[in-house]
Amino acid sequence: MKDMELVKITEENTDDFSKMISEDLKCNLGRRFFNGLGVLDHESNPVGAMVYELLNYDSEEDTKILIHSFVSEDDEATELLMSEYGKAVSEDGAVESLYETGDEKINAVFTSHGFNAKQSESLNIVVSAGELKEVAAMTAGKKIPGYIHDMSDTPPLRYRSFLKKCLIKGKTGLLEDLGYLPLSWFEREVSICSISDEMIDGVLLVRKLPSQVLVPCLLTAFGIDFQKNLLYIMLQSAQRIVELYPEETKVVIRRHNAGVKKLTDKFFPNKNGEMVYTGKREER
Amino acid sequence: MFDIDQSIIGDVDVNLAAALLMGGVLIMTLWRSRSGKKADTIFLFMVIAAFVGAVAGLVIAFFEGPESPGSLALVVSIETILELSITIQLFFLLLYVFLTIHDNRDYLIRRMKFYMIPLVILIVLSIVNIFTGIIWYYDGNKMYHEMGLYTVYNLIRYLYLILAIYQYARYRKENGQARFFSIWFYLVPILWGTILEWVTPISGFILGNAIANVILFIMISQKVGFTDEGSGFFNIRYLKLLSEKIKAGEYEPHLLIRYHLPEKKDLSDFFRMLKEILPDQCDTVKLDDTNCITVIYGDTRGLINMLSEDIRMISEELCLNIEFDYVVKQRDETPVKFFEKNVVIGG
Amino acid sequence: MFYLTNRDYATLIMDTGTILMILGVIILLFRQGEKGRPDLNSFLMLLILTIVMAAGDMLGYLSDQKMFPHSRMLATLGMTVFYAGFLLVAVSWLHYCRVRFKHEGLSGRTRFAFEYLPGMIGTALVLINIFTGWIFHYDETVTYHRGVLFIPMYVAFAIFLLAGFLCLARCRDHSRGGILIPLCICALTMIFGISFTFLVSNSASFAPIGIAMCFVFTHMGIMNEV
Repeated sequence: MKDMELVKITEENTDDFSKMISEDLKCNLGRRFFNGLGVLDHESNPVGAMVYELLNYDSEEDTKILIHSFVSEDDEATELLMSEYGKAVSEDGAVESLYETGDEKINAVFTSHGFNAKQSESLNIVVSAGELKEVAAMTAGKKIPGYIHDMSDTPPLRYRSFLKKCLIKGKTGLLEDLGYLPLSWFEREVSICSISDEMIDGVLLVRKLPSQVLVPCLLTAFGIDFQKNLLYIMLQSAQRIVELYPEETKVVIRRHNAGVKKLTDKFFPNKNGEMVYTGKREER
Repeated sequence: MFDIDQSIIGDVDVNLAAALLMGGVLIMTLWRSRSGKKADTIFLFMVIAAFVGAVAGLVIAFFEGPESPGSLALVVSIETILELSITIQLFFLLLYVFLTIHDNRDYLIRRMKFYMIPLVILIVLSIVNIFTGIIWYYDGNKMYHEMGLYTVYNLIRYLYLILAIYQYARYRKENGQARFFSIWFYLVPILWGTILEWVTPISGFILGNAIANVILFIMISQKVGFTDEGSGFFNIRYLKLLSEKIKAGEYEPHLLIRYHLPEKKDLSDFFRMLKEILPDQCDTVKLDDTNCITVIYGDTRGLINMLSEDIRMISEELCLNIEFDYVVKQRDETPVKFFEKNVVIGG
Repeated sequence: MFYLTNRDYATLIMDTGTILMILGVIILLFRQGEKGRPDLNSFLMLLILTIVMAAGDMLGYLSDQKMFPHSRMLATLGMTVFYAGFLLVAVSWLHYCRVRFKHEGLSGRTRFAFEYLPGMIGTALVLINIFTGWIFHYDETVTYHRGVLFIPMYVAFAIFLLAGFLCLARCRDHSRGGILIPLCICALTMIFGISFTFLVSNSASFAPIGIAMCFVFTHMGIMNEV
């Protein structure tokens, strides 16, 4: 076996793996439940890397792992990564591993390591800011109330109070580590909240990735007016995106539950996700 | 010995009983130190309106009838006050129920325009009625008569009761039982009074209304009985009740925070800031002068980290040495076992 | 079928109102986890006896009016239940006041002599009254008449009430701004309720609701003091 070295990819050494891990994924490696494994050859050149995220780690539900990225230049690096991944799975007590990829070769790697795969529509849909114009136009004639506004001036304490409510109710959207993320992690000018009694009772948090792609991460609201507020929040966010970003700006919406799917079907009826390979493997 | 005419003694007795009940509740409400909750202020107005109504009902019994003193204008004025007091009381009931279950002023303000409409209609109708007698009137012998429109007038009033029931039922469906409050205890005496109003010649509604307010006040005072005056959190009596509710499956604790407070220090600022940082879905119980626990219901993802940071931040800001630790429910533990293992309830 | 006067309706309303209010209090007591309280049993006894009083009053009062065809037996039964309840309420009130604030007060034998014995004697007198008419009786026209022991019975009741209030007033446990105000309200409502019937001729029976008010205010103002 050639002299290969397995390393943990952290914030400090992500640049070493720049050609293997996208910019968007690299910025996640400082987050609590994101882990990275890399393989370096004898000349300390990266030959393989994978990034995965722990799901349900902080809760009583079974821990699962979602593999976000897997790149490998040769079989040896592949074996090393999968072996080390297997150990990590045992240490973290995960019961299942999941992945989603559009690459047939990567899918083949996973299926050869015990994953059951199928082809299906991706949970992600990509819309442009230009397409959001039509959504924003729905507010024509409808006045968005004054208690709906962006989060540029939101005090951190008010944000934290709302976060606690979300955590208790299990509403964390796409963010397993919501409780560890500061407000500055989000794009505050297009992240919208509804306020009542000086407290946040509804929110749409949007993250801007290094590639300038916008990702809505959490849309939730509580209280007696939650349904109405959700609509206002979404419309206001769409308006702000249209105002602040060029038309070609991409917005990636992950339809991770039935509620989001219903919304996207309503606002973007002709939008579908691309066909991808999804797979899972039982770990116990 | 006083002699009151046989024809009015019944009204006098019933309205006097209602006035006494409401007077007592009014004094107790004013005497008790208020929790600062928005709903409690509304309750005070409810009781005042009910008291005014009962007194008006009592007074008018002496001025009705051909032999009674006083002018026609006087009886009409007093009767108008009586009818308006009932209307206003039911309006305040809706506000009270809303604020009790939602505890959010902005939600109520956003709906106020809609809620005010029936009240405005009824006030206008009452004023118009003084001059036209389209709803009720007093004849030349100062005898009371109801017109057909009175039923409509009553139905509009009862709309507030229906709205209050709707709000409560909707809240209960989405969030479970409201703490220390149930509208059904209020509703039964009101219905009893309404039925009496139909089948007897005496204004049983006033007494039913008074009894309903008494029972409501008992619910409020029961909550006060479980509250620690200094901190505003629950006192040790609440632990037994909480234990029963956990056993009944009403609450599921997932996280427990135990605080060890410094002795002989003013902790009022600490308690105030603790209330601000703690989430809604938790109960804090002050066990004694140096010990406190917070029981948190629901998923605990990331919450421990956030709360620990916040508690440390408060301690540093106030220069207090607050020690705390936390216990997380294990997966294989039931909520009852978790609570009983970590919280000792006295005998 | 029936002809009821204004006063009859008022009696019906006030007695059923009393029962409704007391039942509401009892349900709330159990609903809010008051089961472990040491004074709960004596307070419950007070509430149940008040219901008995109100029921007896309603039956007795309406039986001697137009509700039933002048049933002398029913009227006597109703008022017997009322007065028995009345006396037992007095004794239970003193017992509750002692238990509530843990006044040991009298020793075993003395307590028996001053609390339980008068209650037993009073109840026995009420039962004997069916045959003797010493407290009240109904004549052939089912008209109510007071007997020779009517006033002494009320005096005995007043003594027990006063003793109970004195027990409460002596309490030093003024944890929440004192209990003086609720105590005054309780005393006033009870005194007013009982004396109103004497002060105003033709009045409906005010005693049950007056007594019920007293206990309800006791619950509000005193019972919740830790």
